[in-house]
Amino acid sequence: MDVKFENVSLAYEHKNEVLHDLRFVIPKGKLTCLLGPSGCGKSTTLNLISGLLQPTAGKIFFGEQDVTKKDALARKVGMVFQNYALYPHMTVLENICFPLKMKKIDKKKRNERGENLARLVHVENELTKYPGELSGGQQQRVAIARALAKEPSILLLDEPLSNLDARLRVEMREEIRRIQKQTGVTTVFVTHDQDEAMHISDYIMVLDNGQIQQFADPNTIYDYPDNLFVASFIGNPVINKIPFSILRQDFSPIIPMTINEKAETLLIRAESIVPIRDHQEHLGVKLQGKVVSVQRYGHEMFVRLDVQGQELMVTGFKERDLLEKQQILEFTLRTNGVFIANSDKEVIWNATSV
Amino acid sequence: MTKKSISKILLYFILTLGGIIMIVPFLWMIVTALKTGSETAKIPPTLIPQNPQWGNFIKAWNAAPFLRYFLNSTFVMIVTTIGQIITTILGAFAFARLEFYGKKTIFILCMATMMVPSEMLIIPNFVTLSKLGMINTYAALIVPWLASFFAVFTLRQTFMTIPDELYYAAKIDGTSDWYFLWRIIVPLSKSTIVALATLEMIGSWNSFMWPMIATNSDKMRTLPVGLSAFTTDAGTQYQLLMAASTIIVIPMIVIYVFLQKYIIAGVTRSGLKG
Repeated sequence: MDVKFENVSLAYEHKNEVLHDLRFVIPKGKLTCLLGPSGCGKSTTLNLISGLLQPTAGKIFFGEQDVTKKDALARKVGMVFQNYALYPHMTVLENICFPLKMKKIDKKKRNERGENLARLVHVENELTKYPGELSGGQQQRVAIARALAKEPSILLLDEPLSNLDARLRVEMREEIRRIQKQTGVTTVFVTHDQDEAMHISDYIMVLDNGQIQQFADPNTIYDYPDNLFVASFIGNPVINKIPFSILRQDFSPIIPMTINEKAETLLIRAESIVPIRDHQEHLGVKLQGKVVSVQRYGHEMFVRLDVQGQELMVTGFKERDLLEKQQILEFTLRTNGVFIANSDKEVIWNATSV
Repeated sequence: MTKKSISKILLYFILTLGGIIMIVPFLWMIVTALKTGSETAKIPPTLIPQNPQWGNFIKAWNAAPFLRYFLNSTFVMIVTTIGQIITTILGAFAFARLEFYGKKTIFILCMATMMVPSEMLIIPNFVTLSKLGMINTYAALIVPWLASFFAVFTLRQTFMTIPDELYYAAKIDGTSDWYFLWRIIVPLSKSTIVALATLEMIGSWNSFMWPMIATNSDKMRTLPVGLSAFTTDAGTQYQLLMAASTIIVIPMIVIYVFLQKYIIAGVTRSGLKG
């Protein structure tokens, strides 16, 4: 079922607004991420979808149905919490079947469904164990199975991977992706980890200060950020931000006059700074900077460059591109990953337009 | 001798000392119960009764209607404990989880009652109950103890350690507050509830002052009050008093041993991370 927010606002105690006039449609059968820094309103948005919170203004629709006044149970949402919230005194099977028990489905039927779900999330060998006897990843799987047990209209996941260690996190995000594809359930996933969001989602909604910054598929968000916040929040290492005035002369020939006048900040992704002989398409600019430091982490090369007093992080160079003890490095920029923002922090120019 | 074995010896010494301090009064009670009347007054006291008087137990049991006292004590203990646990669970849930008007004020008022010494409540309670015509009934022995804010407060603290997410998860799964309380919160707080029940059982079993004041006939008396039968104007018959005390203490020891095992088994398994 798709979820539609119509001018939804939320204020606590009628004082400070947490969410301002949200309007969006989360498409049916897809996995959508709510992404943003802590305090941006993403968990609050999730709780509004779940019905655990009521908006101060606006309407929420599930499909055609107005659910604004309905509680979580009536909305038939399934939810997975950051700390899993399994019932510690019930076995894995009892946990998974709990929502069905509440729906008064008879024991034989619900156990059968519970076992099927356990197979789906790969915990079929742990059915008689208690949550405390499981690893974090297994507990998370059980929590997902429980959320799916009542065939939810929408599956909501609130930072489900934050408590797992790095390797397990990658494994579990693939699992969530697989389970979502297999069941086709509309899924909303909250995270503050842009890397996680990029890997798992069909669509990403970037939130900041209770407002939607951009809502699009991951590659669009990466390649065509709407504003400075999105450009700098997405991507690792963080995009380089320098005052446009420093490189105005170099850029003047390749950008329209109107852009030139309004340009305030130049944004360049670290991997878009490349050697001049790089075979990919690049902008007609030839720049140079002083090498500050070179560090190698496994397959990654991190070069810090000083360009007229501004430091740039560069990952577009390979080891072979760097001559030993080289002080001055000549470089150019690729046609993707270079943006110009105006004083309102909106992206007004994207190098792909050249 | 190594450092380790010295600390081990010291540890055992302290534990033994503690054990002796705990056990001597018990032993002394049993030893006295087996003495003759004159032997109890002997100086220096004898450590082992010269001529064990096993008949003291029978004599003590028959000296007063102890069967009646025993049934009274048991009945009062069971009803007050069950009643108090129910009111405690409901009260603790309200203070821990529900939102209602004046919650903070009511909570502070209840906290304030904990600062009133219990002795001060004896007279007002007596006046209230006598106006209600409840003196010398089971109601007098039970009703004043049906709610304990100390227990409510303790259990509320336990309830508050249960994360909000569990509540939300249960709501989404379709539970009512009532079901959530009895089927999820209560099982998870089992060890605290058992501990509170144990305290209340011991407190009720041992209580002396209130049953003494609130009852005036043998029919309603409880065991601790019954013990006073051995103290007369002519002096105290220590051997019989101790024999009766020994009999009275036995059920408490049984309860304690049984519940102690239960408390350990009931240590909550964790199913939450974070």
